[in-house]
Amino acid sequence: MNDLLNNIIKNKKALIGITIMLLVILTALLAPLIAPHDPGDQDVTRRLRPPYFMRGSASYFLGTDALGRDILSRVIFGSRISLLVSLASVMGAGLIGSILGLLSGYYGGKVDSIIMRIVDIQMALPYLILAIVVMAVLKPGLQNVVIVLIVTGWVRYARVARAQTLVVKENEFVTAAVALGAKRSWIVFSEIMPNILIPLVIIASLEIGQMILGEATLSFLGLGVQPPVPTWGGMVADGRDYLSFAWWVPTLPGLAILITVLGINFFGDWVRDSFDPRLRNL
Amino acid sequence: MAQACPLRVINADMTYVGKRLVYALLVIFSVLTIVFFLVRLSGDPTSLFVPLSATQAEIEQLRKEIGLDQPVYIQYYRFLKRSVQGDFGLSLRYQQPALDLVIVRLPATLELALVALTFMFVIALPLGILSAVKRNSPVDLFSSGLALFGQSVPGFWLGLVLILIFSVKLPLFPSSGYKGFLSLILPGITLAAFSSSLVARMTRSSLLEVLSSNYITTARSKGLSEWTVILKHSLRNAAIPIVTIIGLQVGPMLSGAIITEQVFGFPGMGRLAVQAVLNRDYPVVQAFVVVAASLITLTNLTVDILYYFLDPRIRHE
Repeated sequence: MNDLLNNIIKNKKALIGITIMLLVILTALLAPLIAPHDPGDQDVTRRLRPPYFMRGSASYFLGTDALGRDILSRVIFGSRISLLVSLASVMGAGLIGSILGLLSGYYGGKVDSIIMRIVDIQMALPYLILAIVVMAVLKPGLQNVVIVLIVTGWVRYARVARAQTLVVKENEFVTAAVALGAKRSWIVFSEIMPNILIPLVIIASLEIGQMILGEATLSFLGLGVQPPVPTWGGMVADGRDYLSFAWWVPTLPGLAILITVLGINFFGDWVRDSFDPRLRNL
Repeated sequence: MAQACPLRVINADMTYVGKRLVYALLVIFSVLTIVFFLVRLSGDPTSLFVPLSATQAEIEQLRKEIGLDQPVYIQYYRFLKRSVQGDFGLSLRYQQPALDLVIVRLPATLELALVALTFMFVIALPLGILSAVKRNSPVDLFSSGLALFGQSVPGFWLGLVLILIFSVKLPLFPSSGYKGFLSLILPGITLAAFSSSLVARMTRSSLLEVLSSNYITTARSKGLSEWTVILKHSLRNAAIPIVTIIGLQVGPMLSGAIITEQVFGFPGMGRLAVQAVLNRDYPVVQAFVVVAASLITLTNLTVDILYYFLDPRIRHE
C-alpha cells in the first residue's frame, strides 16, 4: 500500500489524474449539498448572465443559460449522469466482452469462429453509426444510452480476453487442473479468469474517459439522456445558438468534459504503465 | 535459390484478394441482416416506416405495401433483394428514395474526410517522427501533450471553440454551411483531432522500435547521414503499423463526421443521418448505415490488400 502511494506521489500524471477523478466523484455524490441552486430552476429575467470572472454575480458563479438556469449547478448535477453512464457501461461491456473472449479463447473451434465473426462485423460499424441505428429503433434515454455504449464497447475486452486466454490455457497449472478432473466452468472462471484480469482492468481504466465522451456526444446530438435532466453534452447543445454573444453557455460545460476525461486518461495511462508497460499501444 | 513460378505467385495473390473480397461481402451482408432484425426486435416495425400523423387505415395499407404482413423469412428475402438493388424505400420526410438522399450527400462528407486526412498527414506524421527522433525533448513533450489533448477533447466542443475563435472573434473562416474551400478548414481540423493524436502516437512508437534495431546501428556505422537513416531505412519499416492505423481511422472519421457536420451545419450524410433519427425517418437511417458500413469495409479491404503487397512477410505466410 505504501509502495502504491509513493508511486502515485512521485508520478505527477497519476497525482493530477487521481485528484481530478476524486473531485468529480465527490461532486457527483454531494451534488444536492454543494450545488448553489436547483439545476432546473428557470427565471428568464436573469437569462444569459455572465460568469463571476466576467464581472458577473458571485451567486451565479459560471453565469446562467438562456432559460436563466445556474450553469454551475447544472454542471455539478451533470457529473452524476456522466459518471453513472460511464461506470455502468464500462462494467457491462467489460463483463460481457471478457466472458465472451474467455469462452472464445478457451473453447476455440465453432464458438471462437462465431464470436470473432461478430467482433469483425461490429468493427465495420463504428460506435456512433451503431448508436444511430439502435437509437432509431429504441427511444433516446438513460437506459438506452448505457445499452448502446455496452453494445459498442464489449469488442475490445473480448479481443484482449481471447488473446490472453489462448496464452494462459497452455500453462501447466491449467493442464494440472484438467488432469485432476476439474469441471470446465471451474477451469475457465477459477483458473484462467484471475490470470487475465490485469490487462482487462487496464483497458477498463482507459475506457472510462471514452465512455464519458460517448455519452456526451450522444446527448449533444439529442440521442442521449433527454431534457430536463442536466447532461454536459446536452448543455453544450442547448448553448450553441448563443455562442457569439454568451460564449460561456456552451463552452464551460464542455470544459468540464475535457478536464474530467483528461484526468481519467492521466489515471489510465498510469495504471497501464504501472501494471503492464507492454500494453502501451493499446 | 529457385525462383517461384510467376504464375503461382499471381495465383496466390488472386486467392488472397479473392478471400478478402468474399469476407468483405460477408460483412456487408451481416450489416444488412443486423439492420433488418434490429427493427423487428423492438416489436411491430410499421411505426418506423409511417409518418406520425398516419391514420390506422394508412398504416394497414403501408403494412401490405411494404410486405410487413408477410412471414419474417419472406420479408427478409425481399429486404435483401431490394437492398442489393439499392432500394431502401422512400424517405418519410422528403418522399424521395432514401439511398439517393444519402448518396447525394456522400461527396461532401468524403471531401471533409479528405481534408481531415490531409491535416492528419501534415501534422501527425511529422510530429510523430520528430517525437521519436528527438525523444524526451520539448518537441516530444509537446507532441505527447497534444496527443493526450486530442484523445480527451470532445469533438463537438472543439468545433464550437474553433468557431468562437476563428469565426466570431477573428472572422477568418465561415462558421457554418458549405461555401467553398474555406468552409472545410475548421471542420477538417475538428475531425482530424482525434485520429491525429492516435497516428502521432503510433508513428512515434513504431519508429522508436525500428530505430533501436541492429540494422539501423549498421546503417549509422556505415556513416550514412541521420536523415537518410530515418527517412530511407527506418520509416519504410515503420510504415506497416502506420498504414494500418490510418486505414482503421476511416470508421472513426465517419463517426466524427456525424458530429462535425452537426456542429458546422455541414450538408453531409452524417447530418442527414442524425436528422433522420430525430425525425424517425427509418428508411434513411437504413440507407445511411449500409452506405457507411460498405465504405468502411471497402477501405479495410484496400488496407488489407495494400498490407499484403507492402509487407513480403504476409505473402510468405
